[in-house]
Amino acid sequence: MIDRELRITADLARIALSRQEHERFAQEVQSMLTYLDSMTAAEAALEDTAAGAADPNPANPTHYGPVQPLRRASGLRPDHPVVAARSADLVEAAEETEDRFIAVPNVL
Amino acid sequence: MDYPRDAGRRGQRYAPAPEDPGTFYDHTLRSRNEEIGAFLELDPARRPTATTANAGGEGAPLAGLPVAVKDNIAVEGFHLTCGSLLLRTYRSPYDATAVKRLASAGASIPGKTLLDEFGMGSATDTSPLGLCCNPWDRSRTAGGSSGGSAAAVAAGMVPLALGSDTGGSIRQPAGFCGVYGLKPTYGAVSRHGLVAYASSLETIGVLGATPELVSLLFDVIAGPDEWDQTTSPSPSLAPGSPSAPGALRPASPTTLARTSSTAWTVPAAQAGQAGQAGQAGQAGHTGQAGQAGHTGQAGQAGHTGQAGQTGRTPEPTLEDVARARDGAGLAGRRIGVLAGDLGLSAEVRAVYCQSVDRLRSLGAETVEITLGCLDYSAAVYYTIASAEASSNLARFDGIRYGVRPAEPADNPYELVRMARSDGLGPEVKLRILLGTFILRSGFHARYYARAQRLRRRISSELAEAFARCDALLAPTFPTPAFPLGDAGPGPLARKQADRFTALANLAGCPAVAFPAGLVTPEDGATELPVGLQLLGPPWSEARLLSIAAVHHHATEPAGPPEYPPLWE
Repeated sequence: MIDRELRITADLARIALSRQEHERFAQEVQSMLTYLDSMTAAEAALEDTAAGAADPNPANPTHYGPVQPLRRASGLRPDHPVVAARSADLVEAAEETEDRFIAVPNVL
Repeated sequence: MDYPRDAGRRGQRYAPAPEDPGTFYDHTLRSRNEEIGAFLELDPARRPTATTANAGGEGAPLAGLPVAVKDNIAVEGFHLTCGSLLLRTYRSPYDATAVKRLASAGASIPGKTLLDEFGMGSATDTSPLGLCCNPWDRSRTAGGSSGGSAAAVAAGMVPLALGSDTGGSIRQPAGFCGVYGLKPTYGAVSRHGLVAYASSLETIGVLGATPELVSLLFDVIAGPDEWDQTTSPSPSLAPGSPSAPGALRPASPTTLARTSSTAWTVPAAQAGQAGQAGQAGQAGHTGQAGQAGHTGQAGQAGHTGQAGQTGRTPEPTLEDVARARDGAGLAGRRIGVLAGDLGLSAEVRAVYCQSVDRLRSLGAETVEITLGCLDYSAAVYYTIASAEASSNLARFDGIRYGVRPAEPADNPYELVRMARSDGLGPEVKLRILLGTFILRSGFHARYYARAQRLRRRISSELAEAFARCDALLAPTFPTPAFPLGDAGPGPLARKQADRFTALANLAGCPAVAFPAGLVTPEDGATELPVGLQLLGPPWSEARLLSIAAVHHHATEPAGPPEYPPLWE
């Protein structure tokens, strides 16, 4: 895994990595991803088997035009880490403050 | 001896000790724990006494029994650390449903057992709060992640323990420690109060010294729970079946314990349901229930329906588990035996072959089953489990849960980042990073979506296997318990070794690990137990435990010589 991808992933996961940790996890995550990629071959093999098994009496196709796959839209939003509002700005905007905290009425 | 000794092995009633058994805890339990490290927390005030034994009323099924609880299950007043620094100060304000039920049934909870941090690991060596070793050989692992629970039972400290099983976390340590471990059907036991790791995979389950004890505790904790919407109101595919957990208790979801008046009987209301659904008087057979039209449920219907159609042997009940000694062995049972090269060590392969022969000698018929999904089950499991972990563990942020960093942070996100970076261990961080990566928009289809499709294939393949056999015999791990530290298998090899146990979690079906034999590994001088597992279709716990009980009485497996059980 390239360094940039791990940095983005760690940001999304809200985990700060030291340089040592970064090196370690880059190796370990890459190793795991390589292993998980074995699913690709497994699925391809299953599809081949299924295609072979399901084809004793192939039905005539109902459409002879060029293949036009359905357009798919991703339902996922982009993975962009965002910079949070600085707590100093939030405290400054508060009506009443105490030290570096927002003061609120006692409720208990 | 100041501890009840006259129960357990043959499923008799437990007689609580009339005197205060303080010596038991102060000396034996604590000294053994110093050697084994099974418990993270012990509370002498909760030792079994005549008072606690009577808590469930007359005839309480677990009267006087101490039951250890894995430290990712909530017990009011105890810490709930999940083996993590991040939760080291957290105390549970409530009891998990399973804990409530066992307490109502008369059990006492002497302490919380060690686990891999958040249940992530297979050696109980990833927690910074402790290290658990195997009672058979203290230089070796007890397995994981429920290693503390398994070691506590194996070392004779408690006869029963609760664990959780996400990818084999009950069965693998049960196999390493030579005890019985039940991973129930998904939805059979409430997970209210279990700290979530991978919600579509994990269940609370039972570790015990005998199959009879395991079935006793399973019957107490199983059943519907209004606090966990994934629990089944009854085995939905076989309503009224006495083989089903919870069928031995009143149907009310708020009832916490089986009462003596309804013990071992099908409640009238459920018997009526069975009569409507199938043929009255034949409701005990899952095959018949499956034929009664309950086939549209959750994609698991095929399992029970198909298994039921084998129709060779009447379906056993949980009560039959205690009668296995007097039964007709395994006559009429068909056991699936895995074909092909399973990648087992010589020791485990030998035990597997011996067990097949033994099951045949006990009357079972064997049939060869080839499971192609073993090639990718571990990869599918780690994809889904890591993805779910990255989401579930987001709550441990130092604000809602977890120790807040001492240093002030510049903004809330920085605070969360500091808390998680300081509090989480390397294995947990690895799985969160992996899961977050897998779920990213650019990689989701390549990993997560593919894993979900393959998970479906695994369920189908197992359903086909269960149509040909009553139970499937499989290893729990390719090797016996491995040495602690760097001498054991590497991180990736350990994960790949979960391929046998992960099957049951991915398909939601039950599995029972049992001690199958003793071996002396090439790299050691001490005998070690080797465990195997029996997998069955959903809601076949009674069947699996009955087979395990027949095997148990035929072999009478012993515990580690150094730690004779404190109960008999």
